[in-house]
Amino acid sequence: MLEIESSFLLSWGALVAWFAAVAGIPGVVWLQQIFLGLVNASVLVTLSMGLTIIMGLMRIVNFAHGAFYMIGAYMGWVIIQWFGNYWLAFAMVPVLGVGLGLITERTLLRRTYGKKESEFLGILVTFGLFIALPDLMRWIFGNSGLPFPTVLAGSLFKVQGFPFSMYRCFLILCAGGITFGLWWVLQKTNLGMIIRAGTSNQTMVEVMGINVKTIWTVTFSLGVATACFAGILVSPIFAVEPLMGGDILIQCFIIVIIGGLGSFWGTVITGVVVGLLLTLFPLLPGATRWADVLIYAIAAIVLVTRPRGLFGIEVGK
Amino acid sequence: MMNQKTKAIYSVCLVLGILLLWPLISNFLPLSNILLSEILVFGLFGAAFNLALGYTGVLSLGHAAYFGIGAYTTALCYNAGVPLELCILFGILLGTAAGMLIGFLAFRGSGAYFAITTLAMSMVFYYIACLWISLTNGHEGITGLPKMELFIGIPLHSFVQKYYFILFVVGIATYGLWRLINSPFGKVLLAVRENEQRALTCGYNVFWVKWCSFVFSSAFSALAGCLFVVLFEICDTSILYWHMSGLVLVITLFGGTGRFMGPFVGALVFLLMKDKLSLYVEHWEFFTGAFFVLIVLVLPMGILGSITETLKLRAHKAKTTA
Repeated sequence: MLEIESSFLLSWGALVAWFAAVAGIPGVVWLQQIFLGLVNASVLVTLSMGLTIIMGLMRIVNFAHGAFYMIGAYMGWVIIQWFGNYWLAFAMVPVLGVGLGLITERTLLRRTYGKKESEFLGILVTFGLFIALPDLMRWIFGNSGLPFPTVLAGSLFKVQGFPFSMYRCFLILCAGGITFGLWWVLQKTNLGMIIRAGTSNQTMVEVMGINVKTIWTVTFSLGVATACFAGILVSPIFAVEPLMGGDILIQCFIIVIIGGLGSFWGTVITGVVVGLLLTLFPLLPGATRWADVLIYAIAAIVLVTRPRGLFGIEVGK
Repeated sequence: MMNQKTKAIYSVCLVLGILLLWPLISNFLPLSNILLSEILVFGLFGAAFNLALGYTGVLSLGHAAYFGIGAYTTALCYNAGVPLELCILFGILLGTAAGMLIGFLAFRGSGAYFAITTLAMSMVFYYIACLWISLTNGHEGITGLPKMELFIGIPLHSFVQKYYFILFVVGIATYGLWRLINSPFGKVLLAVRENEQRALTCGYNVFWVKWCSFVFSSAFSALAGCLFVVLFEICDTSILYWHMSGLVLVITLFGGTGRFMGPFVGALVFLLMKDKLSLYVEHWEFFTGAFFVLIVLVLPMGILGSITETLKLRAHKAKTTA
């Protein structure tokens, strides 16, 4: 699944070296930005993995992924209001996410399978949800951000007075755990084997007598659950508001494009690099807010040189 | 019994006549000149989008870029004192250039890949408009343009004057699009939409065919953007945001993809609904999204498509029973 070409590793390396060469910025600032970059990257990776698995297997560009991420945070808020416990919400939201994915897949997406241009229909249905769901949340909960309790306050350790907040460290750990968990599911379980097989050749899996529809339902629910989990994970430190899933979704799309559709480790590596770039690039003099444009420029270059993405594999229908 | 062609000519004349006379009666009706102008502009935008989606079968989610580039170019040039005709020409040229570039990048992938790439590339222009504050004035956008006036001396001050100008331009552009779609090139587009493999086997260079259609589509989208500025005399970053790409997709699907007049019907229904609903319902965006999902799943041919299909079916039934 992982095919790294040395030239591309080198180009990433050159980029990092270029950053390091920028003098005049004290080391602790770098450290701080790298830390924040890793927090960013954790969120991006958690979201992108779900996207890429769904995209690889079902060929559905899940535009509603950002909306599910937002709904995850809102579900967490409701649970906290009822039970007053963040950790309960933390445990329950992924389970509810599976339910949400199940309902969406069974009621809406299932109708698009097997139709003419089902790939388009999948995009269109999720795009409709992408428009409707944030407004629904605005309707129910209002437009302003929701207050979340602080959890795991305080810092784990300090470097030259810069605190490494406990919760942010926990978040990075969680994202790492999710990444390895998903990798384990994909590589070591029967389900993962079927998903991988379906990604490379759908028809063959059907011929083997496996019920592909069920596998799709499970995969979609799994993807939605990771998105919801990302939502509850970031809720104590990011602003929870109806539009929180909009721009981040497009960043995740960029990651999936650069990493290569359906490539698990490609997505993870690109997610980390993009997360770091988004916080490190603004350190450059005069580049304060141009990081967003930079990642699009990188995506454009990758598309010209390697249309399938850096780690993308040729997938048959 | 009239044949198909005379029927078409009669209906076009009828619609044109109504549109020409509309400002005389619009005071008595719930559809003002300004709303009708907006419908025409977005109808043209949708028709341009339909060239790519409905006739070539490529789903772009970044058409806001060309619309926005047309709008920004017109606003900036007009602010700098360039004659309006030239502003619009520059807007179309720049929008087309952007379409060429993005098309070149995005057509390296197909289907889902193409959709995401166009979306991502259109967001580049959004961020540039947000960040290049000295030129675009950031999120505030460009306002306070000088009064619109054509170089040849026709003032476009009131909404009635603007309406006639927009009707004129949209009419010509629509005729151009119609000719394009009914030309041999248009037939090739349909061939590509129906079966790319077969078109390839027939010796067509599918990449260039799709690319050309995409470039034409971006050119007409840019023209719609120029007209948007002429109409509202304002241009801000929201017209480059992906919401705009979503809007044109919604309008086109409402009307019916692959139907020539579909986007105009879609724009009429959608903008009228938005205008009237937003008075009573605060969250019309939710209803738009829900309605959109419903249309995609239940009426894949859109409003116009479903009406014509039903009429055709009924006529066929009447013929067979008689």
